[in-house]
Amino acid sequence: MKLLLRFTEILGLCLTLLPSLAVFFGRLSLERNQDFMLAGSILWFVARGLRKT
Amino acid sequence: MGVAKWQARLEAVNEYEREPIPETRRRSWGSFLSMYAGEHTAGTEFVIGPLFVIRGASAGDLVLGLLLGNILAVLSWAFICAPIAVRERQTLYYMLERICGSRLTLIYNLVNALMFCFLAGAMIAVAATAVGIPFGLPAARLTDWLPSGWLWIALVAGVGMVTTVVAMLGYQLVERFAVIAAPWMILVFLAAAIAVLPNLGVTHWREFWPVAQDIIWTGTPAPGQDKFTFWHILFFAWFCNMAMHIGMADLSILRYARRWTAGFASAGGMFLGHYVAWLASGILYAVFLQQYGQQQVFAPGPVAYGAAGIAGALCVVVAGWTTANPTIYRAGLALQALMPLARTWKITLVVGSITTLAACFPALVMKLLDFVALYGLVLMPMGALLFTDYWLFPRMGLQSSIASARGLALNWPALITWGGSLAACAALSHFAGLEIFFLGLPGWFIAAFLYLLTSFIHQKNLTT
Repeated sequence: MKLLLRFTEILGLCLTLLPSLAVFFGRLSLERNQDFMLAGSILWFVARGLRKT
Repeated sequence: MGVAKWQARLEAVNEYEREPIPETRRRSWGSFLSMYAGEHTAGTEFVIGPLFVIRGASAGDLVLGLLLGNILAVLSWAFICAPIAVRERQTLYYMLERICGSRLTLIYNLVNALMFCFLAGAMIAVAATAVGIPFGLPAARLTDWLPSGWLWIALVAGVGMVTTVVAMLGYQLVERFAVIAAPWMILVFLAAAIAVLPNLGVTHWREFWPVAQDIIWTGTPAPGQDKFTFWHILFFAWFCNMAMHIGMADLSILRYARRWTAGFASAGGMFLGHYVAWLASGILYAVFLQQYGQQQVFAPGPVAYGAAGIAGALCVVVAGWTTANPTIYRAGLALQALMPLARTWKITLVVGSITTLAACFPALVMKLLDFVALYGLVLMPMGALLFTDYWLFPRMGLQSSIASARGLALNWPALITWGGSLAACAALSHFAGLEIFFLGLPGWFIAAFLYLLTSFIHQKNLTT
């Protein structure tokens, strides 16, 4: 369970940061990047919150 | 039943205001790294980065000035504040009471708490600009001083109430919140800035620097704004937390550290928050200016929302909270020293209410650079005085913590030092034309010298 939560945290951070590089290189729209960032944020807070409690 | 449980939890909060931190409560270096990174990747970063753009900082000045200023800030934490914190493990307020006497500490604590309230108020105001996005809250103009309307006041009240309740539950909860949010916040800053670069015409890394110089940090201030040079940036980066490092306010935080080297953990805050986040928020504001440049408006929430959508707005809210919380906590400690029998949570509630009131005024955000410099300057002399009392007095045969040793209610040399050094800074500003950003350094040495001189005379008279 702990491992799964840790993986989800990392996935959340990756979804927050990495799609912006795709926007920079012209492979993704700014709007779609915003969706990825939101999804990444939710994953991060849920997984991190659960692991810390 | 629920209310009783809640009250019992609040009553159980013990922050060791008047006793050294026990060994069991000490925290690791990593814990301070997260705490500093969280605290200094804050709501104000969304304001300070854009204010550098508004004040006409040039790209080269900014990159180099921030680098050197932040290094100096970290060294100040590590070599000036942290060693005393881990030797004594007391709050600044308790140590000042032993040096200055209860009367002067009372005045200092009131001024300190008020300053912290204004600072936390700025964070709450920043968070409210993001909360206001779904309600169509209009962005404030750079020249606005008063609340724009009832919607703004209602939003600030809501954000302020939540922040106060979190702060009421004590430092542990604040720290846990900052630890969870810190890595995510810095990535949101970074991701948002990278994603909007194509809007500024950057499609390859090598195009960044010319765009940074010509479009983002052009070196030309907005109409009616004073220009920021390399020296302004260096001294601002060094002294924007002057009250906390050379002013010693972080004794209250670093007393939880296992070793003095925890002071170096402030680098987490300086180089992520005061470097990456300031540069990133400047980039975001440059994009915002393309749309609203002629209107002279600024609102951190919409700036972040435009680049990163809901995650950006959320980041502004969270960033505001993670700094407002420890700031309200510090203000609570300042007042706790005045009323040692009062419960911490009741004092924090009062502090939170004053903070929320201050947050209603947008001037706090628009004049943040000047306010931050002023707040550090006003509190700094007490740090110089404490440093002198702790390190130099024993070596010079003078009595340290004289108020405690002699049972004095007011240590006159301390009062003269505080008032005299601030008067000297005002004179430097008025007669030599030195701007507020540059007064901290001479002010610290003036305060240290004044305290040595006046204490020497005072203690000589006491013994004869």
